[in-house]
Amino acid sequence: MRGAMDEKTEELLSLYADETDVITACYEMMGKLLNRDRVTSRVKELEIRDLYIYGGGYLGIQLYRALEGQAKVLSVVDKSGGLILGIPDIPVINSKQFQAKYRNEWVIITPIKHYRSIYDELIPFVPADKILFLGEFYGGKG
Amino acid sequence: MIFYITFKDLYSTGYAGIRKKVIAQTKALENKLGKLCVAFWCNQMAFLMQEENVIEKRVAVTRKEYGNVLLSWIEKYNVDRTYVRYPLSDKFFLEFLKFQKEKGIRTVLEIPTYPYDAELPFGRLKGEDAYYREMVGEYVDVISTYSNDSEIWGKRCIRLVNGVDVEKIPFFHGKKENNKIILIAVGCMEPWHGFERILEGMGNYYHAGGKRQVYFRLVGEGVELNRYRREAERLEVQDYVEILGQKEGEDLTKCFYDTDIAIGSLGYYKNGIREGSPIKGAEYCARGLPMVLGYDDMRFPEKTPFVFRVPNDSSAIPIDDIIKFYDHIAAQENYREKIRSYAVKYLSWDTVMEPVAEYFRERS
Repeated sequence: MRGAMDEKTEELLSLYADETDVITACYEMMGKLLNRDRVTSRVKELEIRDLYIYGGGYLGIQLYRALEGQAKVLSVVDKSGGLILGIPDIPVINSKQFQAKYRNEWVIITPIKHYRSIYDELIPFVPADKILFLGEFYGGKG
Repeated sequence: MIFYITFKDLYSTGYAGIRKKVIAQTKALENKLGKLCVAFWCNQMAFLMQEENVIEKRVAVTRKEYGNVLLSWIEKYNVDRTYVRYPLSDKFFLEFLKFQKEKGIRTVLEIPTYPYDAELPFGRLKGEDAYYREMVGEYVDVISTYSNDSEIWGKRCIRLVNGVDVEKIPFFHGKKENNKIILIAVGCMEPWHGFERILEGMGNYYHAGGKRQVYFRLVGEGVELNRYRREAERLEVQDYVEILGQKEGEDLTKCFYDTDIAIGSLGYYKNGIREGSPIKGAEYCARGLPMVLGYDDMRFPEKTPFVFRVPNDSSAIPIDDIIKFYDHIAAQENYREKIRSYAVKYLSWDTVMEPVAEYFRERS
């Protein structure tokens, strides 16, 4: 069987597999955020009051709705300054506005694929212990 | 340092049994070989635990990223031996195994179910596995399996059975109403549990005028639960069926308080499997319960007195025979203590994991 696929094909397929993993992870997280009990318990455990949601994509919007009535989302932050869907009741600011407004609140990063670059962008002015990856917010052990 | 590596979310609903097993296996290996760490993957985060405390966590969205995190931890902690719970093969898993091989890390790969093709739904993961698993043998030393195989993918097998952490399973003999028999089944309610066979048997029994009260208690959640609910109603036995949902710890123990017989998997035939040693069987034994099994279980030889075997097919379970079996067992003095003692002697994880520890000792 080995050798049945040439290296180039194998490389392309592994890229495809990796991309598919990202899409699957997004889909699963969209579903998991519908678990209101879980979201409530994590907000309490982490003692989250005021926060920013980084990312105006579908996951950012889903998280905003999941947190309604549970914590105060000061704004969604997106590089473009807008959301992927036009939803007027969700406040959104761009990265520059966010940096000017930021005062030690929690920041949850929702774009799964771009977590690292966003983390690097935030770390000069947001303390590391105030940055949560979406999966980390949703929680597991620890 | 030894790592126990899993690719599963050990803390999600439905994985409680696997979590318990991993913790028990870890404890058994620690007793024999010293401290080790457990790696697992949960909600796009990689975790590393020691003594059930998280010592590292990193974002890992994809299988490739999780593999990379594992490699960095292996280097950081100078890992020289790994026990890896097989996640299905793909390019990233192969790369992980290849890295281990190049670093001279000795590894035992545990395949929890073999063969497993019938369990996998058709899809990309099945396709990836079918292609890449043919290369797994190149990168591992030994495979541990719960099947009877002596060789898998060209590698020698260490045969294991699913054991139990006996100390963690409370043992008691609860009070109960006379004449009543309570059957209990705990599981994630998958098709291979085949509990509809009990429901059908109960339907036959009550429709034929069965006088002895026989109840069936189902504990756990899963895809088959609604089907069981519908079947109970269709067969008009819903008043004798208790569906309790997911229970753990003390709540689970309470479910066992007044039970008489445990029901093991009755649907292995659906996946073309004849034998196995699922975790539940050992737990039932530790609780001192006689059992009904629909498969060959290596832990309980053919004439084990507290095991009632039924055919591995779709036939209804004859409740009259179960009653006779129970009455015969229950007439014996201290029968539950004897069943518990069997678990202590043969099914403790310390006993079960000894061949793995022995292998690691030889190669260290």
